[in-house]
Amino acid sequence: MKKIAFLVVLGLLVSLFATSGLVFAQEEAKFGGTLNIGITTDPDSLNPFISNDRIGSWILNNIYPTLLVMNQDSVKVPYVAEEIITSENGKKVTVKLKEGLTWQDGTPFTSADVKFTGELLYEKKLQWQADVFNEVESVETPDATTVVYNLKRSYPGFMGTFGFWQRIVPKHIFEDIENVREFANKEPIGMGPFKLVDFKRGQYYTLARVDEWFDSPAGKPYLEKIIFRIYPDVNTMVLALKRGEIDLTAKDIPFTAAQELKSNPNFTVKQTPSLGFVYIGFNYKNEFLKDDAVRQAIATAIDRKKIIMFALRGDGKLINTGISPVYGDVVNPEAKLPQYNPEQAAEILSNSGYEDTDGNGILNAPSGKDVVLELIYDGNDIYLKKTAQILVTNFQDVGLKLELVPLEKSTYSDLLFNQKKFDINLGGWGIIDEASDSMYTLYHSTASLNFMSLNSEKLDTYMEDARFASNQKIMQENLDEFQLEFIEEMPVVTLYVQQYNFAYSNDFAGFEIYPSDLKGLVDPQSLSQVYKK
Amino acid sequence: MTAKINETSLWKEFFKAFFKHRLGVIGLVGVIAIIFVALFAPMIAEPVSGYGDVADILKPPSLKHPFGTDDMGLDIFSQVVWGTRTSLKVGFMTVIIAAMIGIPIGLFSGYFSGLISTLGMGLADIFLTLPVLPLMIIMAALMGPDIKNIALIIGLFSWPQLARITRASTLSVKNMEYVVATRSVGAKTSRILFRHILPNVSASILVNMTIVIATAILTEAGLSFLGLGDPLSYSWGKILENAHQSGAFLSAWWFSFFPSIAIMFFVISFNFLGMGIREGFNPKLRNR
Repeated sequence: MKKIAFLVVLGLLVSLFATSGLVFAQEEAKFGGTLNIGITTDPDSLNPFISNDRIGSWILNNIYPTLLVMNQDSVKVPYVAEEIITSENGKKVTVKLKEGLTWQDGTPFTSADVKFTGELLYEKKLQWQADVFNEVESVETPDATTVVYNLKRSYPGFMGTFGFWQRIVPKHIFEDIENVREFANKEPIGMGPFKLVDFKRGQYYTLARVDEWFDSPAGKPYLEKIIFRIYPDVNTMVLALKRGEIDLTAKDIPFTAAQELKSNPNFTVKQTPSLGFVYIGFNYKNEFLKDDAVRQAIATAIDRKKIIMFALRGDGKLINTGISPVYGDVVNPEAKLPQYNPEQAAEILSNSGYEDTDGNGILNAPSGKDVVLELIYDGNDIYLKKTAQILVTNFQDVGLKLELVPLEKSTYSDLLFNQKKFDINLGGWGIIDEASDSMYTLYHSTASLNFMSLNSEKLDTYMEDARFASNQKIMQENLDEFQLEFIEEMPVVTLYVQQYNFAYSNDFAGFEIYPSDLKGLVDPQSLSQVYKK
Repeated sequence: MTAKINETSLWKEFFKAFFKHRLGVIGLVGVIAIIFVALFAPMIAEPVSGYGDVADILKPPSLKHPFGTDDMGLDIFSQVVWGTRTSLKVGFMTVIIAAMIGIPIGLFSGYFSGLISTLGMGLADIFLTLPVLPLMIIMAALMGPDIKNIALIIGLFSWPQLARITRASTLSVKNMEYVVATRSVGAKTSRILFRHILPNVSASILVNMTIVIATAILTEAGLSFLGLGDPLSYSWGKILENAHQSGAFLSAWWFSFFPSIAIMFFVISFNFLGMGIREGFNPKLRNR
């Protein structure tokens, strides 16, 4: 008995010390320390113009700045820009840059760098965001910290796209490079909280802090070094985290690992929503799916809550319109996808003449044919696989037959984007930002990504008017109308927004989590404040 | 009349030897049990599909769910029982396809010498040297994940070993007096091959067929594990794949344990049965 009492007291003492230690450690943010970050592959390129993957973004965005960054509420805010001023008619966008910033070689950062970056991007079509410059008439740099973009017409998506996506490069270095596409950029000179000091492909990328950074609370980052370490797969990466080889994961971790780490006192697990969403898209060329009633019935038949419960183990958000709830203000609260209601779905179908006339358990269309539909999806994606499995049951419950066609990713893309040969596709968009622009690129009758062959005059008008709206208010009005009409038309059923899990070691503090797996805990805004306890 | 008597005594001897071989009997009992489970699956367990109850996600074995539940809240016992059907289907379809290709090729290339023999065995050799797994993966990806396709693919790559065994046995039989006699009477080649040679080489073929079935199940499990199985039918490999993908491979041991045991039981049963059959047919082994 005595022994037990002693143990209890000891335990209490230990936990007391542990908690008080935590409190103290949080108070004193000190300089020094190396943060090891787990990733699962090399970045596609170290060239800030060429890199187009998540890993590249994790590393390069800490070295090269963007004019805008996304804050924790998914709103784009100025970063190396001081402010963005849009004229009343929306045709003139003025960017004021922060004063006193310099590139890592000491050269001052000026408006000429920003202008040059845009010009090179457009001239060589280096990234998808080059397209927004189609609407630019001229660019002026009245002084060293001001860039003025004169647009052909008002285009609210312009700065959101260019400012958020395009890493600004130093003109004095890139103007001398003959072939920017081939440029490997092994010794990058950028401007960010960190600079690249060493790397070995397939193994690590070491970043060291700079001496001055405006976004760090102490004037420069606390961490001495950041090392991105490459692991062959997520499971190995999670093991390395548990062993203490790394302190943080840049890539999101599976929910089983997240659950386990949540109960481990040495780690903190943070969650952030995706900036994209998962959906099913209907091919309007299909004889059944072109019927409004069928699309509405399917939308009503899908139990989206169950999908989140089973496929994502609860780590998901419901999405009610074509626009993700992540962009709170842009979503029209009145636009709502139908609630799960199989009886009502069956009723919609029977009211439109769908009946099981041959008694085989599958509804027959008015033409007499069984309504059998194929669902194509990437068969290697575990979330989609489970979602598909649930969809089959949902369809079956209202008398529709859904056949699963899991495909290899490239075959899936080919069928969808090139051949447009499918009935229903189950897929996801990684990041959909700038709703005014992206809705147009997804659903406009002329858009190349509109593989559904959706052709709605009403939707087209709303999308065009939102895309080129002269001010925010007009843009939002059109987006609101668009969302209402979208639910009526139902060209796709949006299913869920995934929540990503990230974990870090409690030896470090100061992390902030930013939206999506593109940012997570390794956004420069987060890393420039992290410190070792 | 005499032939008839001989045949019965041959079978009698076979069974006598077979039942003396303990492993063979175990294999036979195992195979009968597997066939029984497959045939009466609807009476043993409710079929599962889609998703179950949220409260039932990854629950360990209990009275209600003797093998526990998976991450979709579905009963694993029922999946394993219904998976028996899938596995047997794949096994038998594969062996039929392999036999339809392999046995004739083996017979012809054993009976005839020269070009036909070279061609037949050449083809078998080529198939044996092919990197089978990547090819199967490509074919499964191209043809779509369906049980029939999976069986067809495995069958297409399993015939060479049957062909080789058939040929080897045919070679040793074709110059025996009774074959020469039949030939001298003027019997047609097809009659000689299928009426006279085939029954005499069937022992080793039969043994080999049990091995083909066992291997087919392993291959099907492998393909399913790689995500190329039929998405809606439950096979043992598919359960394993689900277990692996759920990330619960270690925490929910029952998820992968029971289908693994089923696969092991199946493979061992068929292999033991094959050993028993070989024992029964082989007079040299018999008199030990």
